[in-house]
Amino acid sequence: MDLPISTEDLTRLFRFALLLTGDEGAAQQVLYDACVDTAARLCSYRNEDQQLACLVGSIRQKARVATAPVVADPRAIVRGFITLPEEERVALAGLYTGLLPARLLAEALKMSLEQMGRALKSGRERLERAGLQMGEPSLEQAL
Amino acid sequence: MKSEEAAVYMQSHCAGLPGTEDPRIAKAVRVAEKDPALKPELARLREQDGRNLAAVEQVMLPPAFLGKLAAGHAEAARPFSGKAFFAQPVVLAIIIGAVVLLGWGGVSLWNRSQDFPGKDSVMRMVEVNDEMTGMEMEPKKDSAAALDDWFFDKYGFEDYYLAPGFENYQTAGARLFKQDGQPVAQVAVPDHNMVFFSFKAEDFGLSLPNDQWRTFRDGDWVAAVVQHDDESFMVTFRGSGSDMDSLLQGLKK
Repeated sequence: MDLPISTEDLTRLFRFALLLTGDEGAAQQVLYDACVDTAARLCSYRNEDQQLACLVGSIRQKARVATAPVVADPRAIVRGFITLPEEERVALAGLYTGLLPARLLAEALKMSLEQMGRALKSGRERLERAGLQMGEPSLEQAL
Repeated sequence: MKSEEAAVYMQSHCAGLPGTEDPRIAKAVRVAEKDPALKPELARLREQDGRNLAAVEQVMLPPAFLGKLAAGHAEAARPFSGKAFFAQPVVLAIIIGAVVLLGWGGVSLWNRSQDFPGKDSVMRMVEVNDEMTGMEMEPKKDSAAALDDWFFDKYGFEDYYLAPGFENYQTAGARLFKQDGQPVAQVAVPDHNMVFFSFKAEDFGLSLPNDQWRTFRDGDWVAAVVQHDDESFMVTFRGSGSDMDSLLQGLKK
């Protein structure tokens, strides 16, 4: 498949899919399906940001219907994300993967910058609490 | 920018990711850095993001995925089959186009099969029915066949012709009018609220095989026209094609 996407961006997209689905297999499938579905459209976009925004939207849609993980991912950050409501999860995953400038990310997620700000605040708080409940004051220490 | 706004916008700031910030977010961060209430929150946010970002960046794309994606090229390039093929917009457009063309062609063929020389002229006669007020006709209560002499005596019209089976219908009124300068006899019949027309075929370019009915619709009206040598007769009434078929079949019995 000829995608106008670098391996570095594919890696970011995979992280985004993983944080949304909570499962590596499901993340691969979601990313693969999104690439297949958008491959023809991507070349028609004028710049890389628009291509990434298209993929972000497609991954979000597919992750919503992906099956929930049967076995919890060993990574605390992934387990923490799966506890978040979808809007907070997608906003924080989008921010942490650095795929798009914040304004474009909000557009791709169909939110205003204010809505995304509130979702991020609440998502961060929830994620912190989830980390503490798991007995991991720092999620990175769980790795 | 007020502190409340800055508190919201600064949430979209992620220190570890340069180049992802909107000017409003950058401004919110500058405001927060100077605001005693927001400054500790910004520091907490940065610290948390630093930890989480480090964890996220540990996640790498499985090497097998790139192979799968490359293999997908062959799959994606494979011709579509079954439902997927027909779901393609281009294929759908072709199918819809073909259906429209076939439909249009079918309608055209059907129309052509219903056409006959002089049809436009006889259709205009049918349309005359709608333009009448009832005052145009002369009251004439008699059998349709008996009007032959009346048309000749009153108008000198020699081409009054009734198709077999219509002779005994009782009339209510009659007149002779001209269409394109050519005479047409018109007779009102109370039964079925029918209107008969009689005219010379060649005056209106009508050309039908002898004694073979042609039925057509025009608005609410249904009409059947028949030619016998150079004489023609048309019966019209408000109804459907099947009503006309029943009438004509009743005549044969």
